Amino acid sequence: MLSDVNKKFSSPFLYLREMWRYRQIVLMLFRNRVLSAHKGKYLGNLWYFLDPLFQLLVWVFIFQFVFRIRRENYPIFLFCGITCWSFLGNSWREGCSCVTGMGNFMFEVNFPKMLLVVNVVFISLYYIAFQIFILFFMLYVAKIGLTVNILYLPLVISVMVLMGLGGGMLFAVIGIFIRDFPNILKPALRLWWFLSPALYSIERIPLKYRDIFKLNPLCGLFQTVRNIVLYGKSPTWDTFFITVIFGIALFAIGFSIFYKIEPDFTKNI
Amino acid sequence: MDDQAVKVENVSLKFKLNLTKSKSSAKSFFFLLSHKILNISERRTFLALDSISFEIKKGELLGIVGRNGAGKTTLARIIAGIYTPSIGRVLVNGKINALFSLGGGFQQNVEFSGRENIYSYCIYQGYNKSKIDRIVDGVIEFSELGDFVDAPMKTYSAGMKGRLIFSMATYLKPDIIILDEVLSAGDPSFQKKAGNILEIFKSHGATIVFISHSIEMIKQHCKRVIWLDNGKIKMDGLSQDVLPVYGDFIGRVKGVVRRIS
Repeated sequence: MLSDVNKKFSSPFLYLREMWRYRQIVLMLFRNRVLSAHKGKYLGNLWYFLDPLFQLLVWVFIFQFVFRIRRENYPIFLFCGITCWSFLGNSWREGCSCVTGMGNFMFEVNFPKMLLVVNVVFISLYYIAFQIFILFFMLYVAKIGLTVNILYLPLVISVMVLMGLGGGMLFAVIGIFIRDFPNILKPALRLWWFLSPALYSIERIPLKYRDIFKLNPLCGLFQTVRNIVLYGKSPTWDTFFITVIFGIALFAIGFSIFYKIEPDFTKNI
Repeated sequence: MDDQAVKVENVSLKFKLNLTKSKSSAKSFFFLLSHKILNISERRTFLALDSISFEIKKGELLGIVGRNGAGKTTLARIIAGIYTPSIGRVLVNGKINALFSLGGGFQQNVEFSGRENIYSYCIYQGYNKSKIDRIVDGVIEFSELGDFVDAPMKTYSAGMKGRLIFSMATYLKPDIIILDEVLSAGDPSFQKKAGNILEIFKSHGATIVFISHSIEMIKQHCKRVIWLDNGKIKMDGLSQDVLPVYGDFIGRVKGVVRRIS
């Protein structure tokens, strides 16, 4: 039975089936990364915990002691934001160079390149698993109980995964055609982090700007995570709704662009 | 219809090339500097393949010859699915394994051992771990690498990498094999093995596309030859008809540079 070599590009369903066929690539790349991430270091895999903790210490020192922000449980408040952002930031930054990083190997083998983005998101998930553990440990130490609203966490993580995948795919494609893109992305993401209520709460924003501020999809994300984890309340639906819509849209856009342009990757590397 | 392995239908491939040109005269130093900083370049379209059509029957051993830059590797990549044609399409019946160089398939995994790279290579070809588990011992034995199979691949010679790649191709039994100038490199003992390797592939009933600069090897193994020149098929026929004309051609032509238009 003769069939088109590029059949997988003729429909998203066929493409997903091809991705499933080559799924072991994700497992292999994931395993390689995990094994080599902290190899040879004295503290070894302890760095999965220490890296985010050190980051937290720096932020807490600057904001709580230098800038004198007064907020109850500020370290946990901060860590909610850090955990989410470290997942998204890592997915997007690694995503935008995951295809170009293949180099000449792309001319030797033929497999659905979207698996590279899936791999990046898997690795980011692995990293924040440790951070979520730390978060719960901090709650335990601060004697903060969990409420039933914690059950929203899988939903929130799913939305983050959609955002991570969508952005990763979109930025991967942009990164192929505009090689400067990683350099633009890094400061842009930095700016977005500071413009989002991760280091501070939305109450700090003057009322007249607050409505525009609430359009930021990360606003709903950070507020909701803090609500369900730290305050035991339900998600801030007015802003989280925007987050969900943004996540779905980003995924839809990222997926279609990646799937449509992948046939031309090798011609533009 | 059923005995066809590969069908190339009216395939053309256009590249958009960025040509960075720089003036070398000292007078235009500042001009040059501004060009380099702003990375100003020309964009031209390059037609790598032009209306290529042919079929390959199952079990056929097709030779492809042509000068450097004729489009042989490009054509091989298109059949393997690495490039997507700008016009036309390629139909295949079965699994393809394309070998472009003796070490390339091992990527940046040179820190890993040969054994680990067997898994890595086969997974990139789309096989799952259980299938690889079944063949890995056979692959190691056939490659005659011995204890080196557990040493990092950066310590391997080109010949060793070649033996590993061919060993895997033998055990994976692809339906279509593309060999892009991989049998020409290597020491004389490797050269001798090269002929055996082709025989082994033939005995599996594989369809083979053999790209080579060695007219001798092509003459020895291929009944049919396609001669590619400037992205077009110049001749497609029996090796005894094509090869003498091709041999004459490269004997006469000296250093003609291909124009990008």
